[in-house]
Amino acid sequence: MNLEKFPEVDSLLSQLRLIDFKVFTDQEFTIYPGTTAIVGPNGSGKTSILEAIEFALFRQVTRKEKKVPRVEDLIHHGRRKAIVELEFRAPINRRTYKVKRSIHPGETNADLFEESQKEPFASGAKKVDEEIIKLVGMNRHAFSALTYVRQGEIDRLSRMTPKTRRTDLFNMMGLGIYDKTGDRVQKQIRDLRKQVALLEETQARLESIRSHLPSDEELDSALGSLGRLVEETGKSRDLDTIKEVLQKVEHSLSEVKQQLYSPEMTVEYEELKEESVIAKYLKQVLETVPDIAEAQLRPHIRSEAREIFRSIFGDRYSDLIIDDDYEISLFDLRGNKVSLSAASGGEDVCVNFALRVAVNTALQKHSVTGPPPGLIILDEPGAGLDSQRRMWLPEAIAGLKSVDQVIVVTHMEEMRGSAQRVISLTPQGKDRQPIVEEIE
Amino acid sequence: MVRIAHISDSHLGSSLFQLIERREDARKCLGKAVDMAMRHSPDILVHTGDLFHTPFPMPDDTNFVVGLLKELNDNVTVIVLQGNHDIPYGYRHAQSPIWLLENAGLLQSTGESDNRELSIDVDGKEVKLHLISWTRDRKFERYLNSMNSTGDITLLFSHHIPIDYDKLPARYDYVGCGHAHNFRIDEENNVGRPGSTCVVDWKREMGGSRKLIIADIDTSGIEFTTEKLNDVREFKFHTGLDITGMNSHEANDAIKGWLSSLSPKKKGQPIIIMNVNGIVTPETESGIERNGIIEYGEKRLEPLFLHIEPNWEVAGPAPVSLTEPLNVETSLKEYLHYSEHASADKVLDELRKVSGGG
Ligand SMILES: Nc1ncnc2c1ncn2[C@@H]1O[C@H](COP(=O)(O)OP(=O)(O)OP(=O)(O)O)[C@@H](O)[C@H]1O
Ligand SMILES: [Mg+2]
Ligand SMILES: [Mn+2]
Repeated sequence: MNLEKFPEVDSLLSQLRLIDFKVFTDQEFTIYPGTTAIVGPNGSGKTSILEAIEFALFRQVTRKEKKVPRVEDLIHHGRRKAIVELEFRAPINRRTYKVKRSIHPGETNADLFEESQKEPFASGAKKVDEEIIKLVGMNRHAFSALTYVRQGEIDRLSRMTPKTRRTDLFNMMGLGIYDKTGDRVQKQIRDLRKQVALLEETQARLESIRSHLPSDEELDSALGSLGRLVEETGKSRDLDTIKEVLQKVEHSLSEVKQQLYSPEMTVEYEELKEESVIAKYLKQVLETVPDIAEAQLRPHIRSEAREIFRSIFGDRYSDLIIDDDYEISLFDLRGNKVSLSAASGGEDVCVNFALRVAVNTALQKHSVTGPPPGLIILDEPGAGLDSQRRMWLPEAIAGLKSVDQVIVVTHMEEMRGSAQRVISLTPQGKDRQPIVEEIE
Repeated sequence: MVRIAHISDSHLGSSLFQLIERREDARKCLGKAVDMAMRHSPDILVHTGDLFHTPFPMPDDTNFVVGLLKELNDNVTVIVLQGNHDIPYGYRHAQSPIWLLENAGLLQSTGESDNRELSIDVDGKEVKLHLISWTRDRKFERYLNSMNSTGDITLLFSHHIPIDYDKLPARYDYVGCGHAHNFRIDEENNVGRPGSTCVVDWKREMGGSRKLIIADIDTSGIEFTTEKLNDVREFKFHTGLDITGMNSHEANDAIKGWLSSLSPKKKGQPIIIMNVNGIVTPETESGIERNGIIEYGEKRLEPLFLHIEPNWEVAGPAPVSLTEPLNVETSLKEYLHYSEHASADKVLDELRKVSGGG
């Protein structure tokens, strides 16, 4: 990333329009490559802009570590619906798309357009969700872990238990894809089990019917007896009646036998059982392989993160490690190990920042679905940094190769200084939307 | 002839590894550089910015500078630019400590602004000085166009030159700059950059050098003399010890080995910096006695500071190396191949079946 403005560069987000979304009644934002700072007093709507981006992409908003349960709370007070439109460039094919979502009480709707097309190529919230995940190459979990650092959450990694930290980092690395496949296999296993059970039930029922019917020999001897009776006593209506019944029994028996030995009950049943075994094994492999993949990716991420962390804290620390249990620790210049929980608030901020960037860089090398989003959204990241390091954080951001778009909400002048663009929000009172200006 | 002595980037107040001693070192380095410069009896002594490390220097640093400047004889014109470290955020030149010193009559700079044109007389020759302190790149280019007056000799001093040197206007007999901390002279374009007066950021400065530049200019051309500027403190660097494939004992021994090859200094405490590279296993890494090594080195060499920079990479023992770790199908294929599973093909078919479904 360079400090000059160069809008021709590919970057994820380009245009955002908000209608009756929280404090905004009708507002457009152009989002350029490079760093955009959003500034303004408390409650002016800074975080809301970021939430709109999250909503446009993933149809949900997370606030204070909880999903906002009723999205209709996002509709501007006193209005009946909200609209969010976001233009973005899909890393996977470098085409531009526009997603348009509307929020109504109790429901949301969505359309996804390809650039300059009038007709949406996907409609309906669910359908659009799926398409967007494919286009941007991440789901909402990956987005949360990798891209969007929420207000007050930059030290989230340090506060998590190792187990959730592991999940988080797994998601960050894009390894969630194995889980997703694993879930599908699990579903397949369940389906197979159901089918097998169904066949077994039928089989049992047929067996039970057969057990209530006479055996072949019994039927044969009964028919033999009947033949002899006809010989001895001659034909009679009574004997004919018995014969009819016996023939009916014979027919039932062959019917039951035919069903019991049908391909469905034999070959297919065996195939289903074999597939179950295979699927179970696949499930097992899907649990093993991501660990191997992870073990392969982690060292890259650690090296990158160490480099970034040291560029800011090299006068206090020499190393950053992520161990097998996802415990993150630092080594100070004296060679003492400092666990992340013992590190200072500002150091924490920096470690979290470094890890996210490092994963972005690693993904750039390894991702198969397309390049990483290259976007980082930071809501008040500088809290806790001293004045010297506040100068370094923007420098660190500016030096990032794997990230070409940064949106940072900040009250810090130093951050503003390093941004190529500054969007300033000024509240106007009386339920009017804030004045939005691009300032120097 | 006009003689210019050019130094830059002394960063008073910086303290490498947060060492308090380095604050004193930075002052001594500046004092030494000025002494060396003055021995050449220059007409102009120029410091191209970042005199201080922060725009709010401590009194000991400010006092030192005041004392140093007061000692200089009246025959030398002292120019000091405002570097990026000398001004508070937002290009607030009026709040720079350099402006304070200029206001006190101790030096000439760009005042409350970021640029200034100045004329001085040296032995009856008019010397035009164009000064540009730290500013936005766009403004720098604008000043290059607007400051077009020339004298018998015309000079440009700028903390930073954000354009290619060959794009500089031809009117300048000498262009002096700072900002980057390594020495460089471009004789083609008459640009000189002395580098810093002391070690400020060892990583960025490791490969380069620091020099005092003396430029003698007359109408026939320019002649450079340079003198090496050594930090007042001794630095020892090991740019990269490779511990690839070693177990932790071997690695510990190798690192200590280099430390023991150095001889303790009789006077003065050096700063010793060692990069350790290579690829090791997690076991090796966790067995490296970071603490112990530093204690060993400190006991043996009594340095002011010993820094060991871990740049090694860790590669765990992997049963199989995945060519595309985020590609589920390829990775599974590689894993199944490695584990020689009998129904590998069927497992992959099942995977395709499941993934194909959406
Ligand atoms: N449905 C709504 N309609 C109108 N305004 C709303 C609605 N929901 C929340 N608000 C207001 O929007 C504001 C929230 O703005 P936001 O969280 O974007 O602030 P911010 O600029 O990030 O502030 P801070 O600097 O304190 O983080 C609050 O003042 C809140 O009262
Ligand atoms: Mg906010
Ligand atoms: Mn400097």
